[in-house]
Amino acid sequence: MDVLNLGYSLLWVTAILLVVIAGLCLVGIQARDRRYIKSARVGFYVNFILIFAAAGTLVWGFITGCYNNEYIWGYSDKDLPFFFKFAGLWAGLDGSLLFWTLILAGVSALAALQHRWSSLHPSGRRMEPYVYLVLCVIIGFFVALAIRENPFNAMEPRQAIHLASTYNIPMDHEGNLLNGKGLNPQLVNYWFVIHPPCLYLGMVIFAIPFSFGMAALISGELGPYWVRVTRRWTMAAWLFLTCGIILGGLWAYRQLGWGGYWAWDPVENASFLPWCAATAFLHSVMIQERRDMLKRWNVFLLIFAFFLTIEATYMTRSGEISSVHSFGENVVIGNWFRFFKWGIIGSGLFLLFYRFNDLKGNHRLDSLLSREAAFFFNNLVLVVLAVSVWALSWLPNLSSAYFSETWTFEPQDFNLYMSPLLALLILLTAIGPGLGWIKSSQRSLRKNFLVPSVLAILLTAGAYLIIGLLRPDTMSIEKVFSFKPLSDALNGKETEGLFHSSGIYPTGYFLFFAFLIMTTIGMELARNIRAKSRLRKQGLLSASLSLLLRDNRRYGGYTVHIGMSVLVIGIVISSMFKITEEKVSVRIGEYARIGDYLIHPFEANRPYTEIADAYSKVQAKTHRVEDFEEGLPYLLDQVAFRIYYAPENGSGIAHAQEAQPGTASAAGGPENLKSLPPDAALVSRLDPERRFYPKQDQWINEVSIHRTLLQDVYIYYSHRGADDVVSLTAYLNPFMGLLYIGTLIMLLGGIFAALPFSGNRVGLAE
Amino acid sequence: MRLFVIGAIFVLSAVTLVTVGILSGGIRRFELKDLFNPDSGMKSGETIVVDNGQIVAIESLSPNLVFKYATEQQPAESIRVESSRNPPENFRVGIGASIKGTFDPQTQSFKAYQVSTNCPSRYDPKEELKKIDQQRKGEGQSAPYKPVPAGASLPRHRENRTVALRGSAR
Repeated sequence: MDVLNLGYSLLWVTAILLVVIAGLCLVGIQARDRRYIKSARVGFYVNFILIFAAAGTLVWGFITGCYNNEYIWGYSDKDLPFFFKFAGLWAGLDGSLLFWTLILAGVSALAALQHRWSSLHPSGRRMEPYVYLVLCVIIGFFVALAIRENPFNAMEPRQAIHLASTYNIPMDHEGNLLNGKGLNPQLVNYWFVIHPPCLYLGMVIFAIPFSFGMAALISGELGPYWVRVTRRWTMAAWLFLTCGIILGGLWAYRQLGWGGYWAWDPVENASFLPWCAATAFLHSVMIQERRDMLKRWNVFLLIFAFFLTIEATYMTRSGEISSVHSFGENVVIGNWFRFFKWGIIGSGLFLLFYRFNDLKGNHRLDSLLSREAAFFFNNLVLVVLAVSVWALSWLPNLSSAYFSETWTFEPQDFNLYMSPLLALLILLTAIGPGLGWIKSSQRSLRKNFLVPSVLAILLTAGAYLIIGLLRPDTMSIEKVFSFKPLSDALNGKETEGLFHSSGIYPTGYFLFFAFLIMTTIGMELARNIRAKSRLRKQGLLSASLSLLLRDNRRYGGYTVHIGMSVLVIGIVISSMFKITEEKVSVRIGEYARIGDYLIHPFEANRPYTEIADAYSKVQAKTHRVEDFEEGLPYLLDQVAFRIYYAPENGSGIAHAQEAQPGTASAAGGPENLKSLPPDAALVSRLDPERRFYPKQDQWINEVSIHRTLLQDVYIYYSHRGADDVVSLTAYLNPFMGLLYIGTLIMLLGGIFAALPFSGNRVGLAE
Repeated sequence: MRLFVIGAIFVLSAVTLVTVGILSGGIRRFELKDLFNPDSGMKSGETIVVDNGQIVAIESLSPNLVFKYATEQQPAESIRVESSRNPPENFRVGIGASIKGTFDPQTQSFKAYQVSTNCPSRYDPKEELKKIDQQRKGEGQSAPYKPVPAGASLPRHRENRTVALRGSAR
């Protein structure tokens, strides 16, 4: 336990060091002596080493099994695989704050390292101490939080004895617990090792552009330098955040058993808020670079983006917002965060208004048919989207505080009201690159949009052809063009049974916009390659390569747009043409139909009575090793399914329906087939299961998915009865693979755009 | 000024959209005790959300999900909830749940379109230790500890079982 005490002490040393760094910066500014600033720079490296060592002691505690530590006891046990012991660092509130601080210290050290070179630039040199001062305040806040929450805290001996008795955990002669309560089984999943660090990185990196922005405002260095530096940091934050958000969605799809990947849960929304602000900034900063416009707006966006990351942390950790996966309620932390976030927005806006006149742009918007106008509208949509999602996530609290009634906004309503804004965003993404700077003539509009529009229409028609062949039952003209389902939904005609809100919006428009993104970019790229090839008398391949490398920022951005369009196509098709069987009851040995597939449960790991008996024993705490399957720490209830492809003859499949109240099929439904049709072809075996973890007193359902590029067959096994009737929920999700492909393209594009090739130089290269 | 006007028009439209959304799509959240209060302002057939109760008894899992729902503080004041859906994950007696649907005051029954159980990821070991302290203060004595030989009645863990299954034949 001494090592853990050392970790706690290191946090205090860090706090003192931050005061010293801030002092060095202030003295350096006052004395105009660079030696102090350089010492402060070294201070950030030491700061990172100290926090790294502090976090390392906690990880050491996890690995060696210091279960008398409150935090380690609550989030691990001795049988947990190594990577999950390591991931215990961010499994709970206290550790996650330390992990957050560690990442912040790491990126701050990187920012300090960057100043070795960027301080050679006059603006960089003048801004440096102010960047450090702002970072000291931010790191100081998180170090104080980590000290306050103290993941290193050891429990008292009587608490250990009580836990040993309650959880049947052995102790040694010195009164140390020999095992922990264990990590939440939902989190024992490789996504848990990847997703939170990615998301945290995305959030935390925003501290750096914010510090540069604040430093520019304080020092008055409002030239192009700070914009270029912050753009690259924001790009890095955006990349990690995008990756984290999408990984979270895919984890939810794989783990939570509701067949979807985004439910507008407040915690999901919290990660989406800074993403909107960062995306807006990455676009509007181009207007500042090209046209020297929107300077004030860009500063505002930087402040807003960092404010939203703190707001997101507050939403997740204060417990004020009810969400399925926020941390527990913590009033003190909530108060601290509330103070800090208002401090950030208050001081940021104060500095913005202080420098208001210095941030005046030199140009005006000349035409609405220009690229800067498209970017400006894109910014408005993103900011409005962020504010709307923020307000709707807080709706229960706001309505309760101001109207004495508590209102909630359900996922289908989010879909209903956010989709128009998202559609507008996709449209602007499609037309933006096709518009010229300053003004677009009719001729250039015709040249840039006529052929791409025709191609996009053809591609949309092709997509419907594929969906029609794959899913004739889910295709309808209303889903393609008509707004009637939307007007019905708005009039409340369908809202009662409208759980998924599929089919409210005409998919044709979304798909057309998404394909238009691809075709406009494709046309522009083809034209530029041809022009370069002619001009330089190069081959097409070498012309393409030199074009891409020469302007990697632009073409990297276009690649991100293409990835986004693939993602949009995947989201639209997978959500609007999915088949959902909310409740299927099928006896083991029978065949239930979903779409063109037959689902055939053919065996269970154990008879129902044995499972029920073992569960009763677990509840009574009289279970023994032999009550579980050999070697398992949980009670396993698994049913094996065979999936057959067996299209029904004739049109229309009555099984495809949204769940409606009172439409449950009878148990062991008579409509199920008793024997396999002769033309059925076996495609896969699926093994969904339920597990009961006695230590956590928790049932976990593990879904099973048969994946193909065109379609996922997704089974969530709910339960079975004594008569061997299995209850399950089944989904046919088309084109889910596009979500992975789109994400990959986006990430590759983002990385390519951030690479330091000739089109992307910063600092001295200016 | 031109940008400002365009921006203002756009923001106003978005605010209108969200307001319309809240007015037409927002669902009112009630506490369980409000369902027993005739003056709670709940309309007949209104879709509502109740989320401060827990499952106190399960009548059936299929063909329909039927259970009793009450608060921890007032277990006797329960309502009967019926849903045509499958039970959600970790559905068991004693777990907190949120129900969405319509309530019939005549029969004191709730027809749920959606039932969600609370996620145990909100678990906080500090809270449990605090509870232990409170319990002990209330009892005024310490609970006897019965030493358990390591691994006696506890099943062993099969290394990486969870991960291995995910990557297997699926």
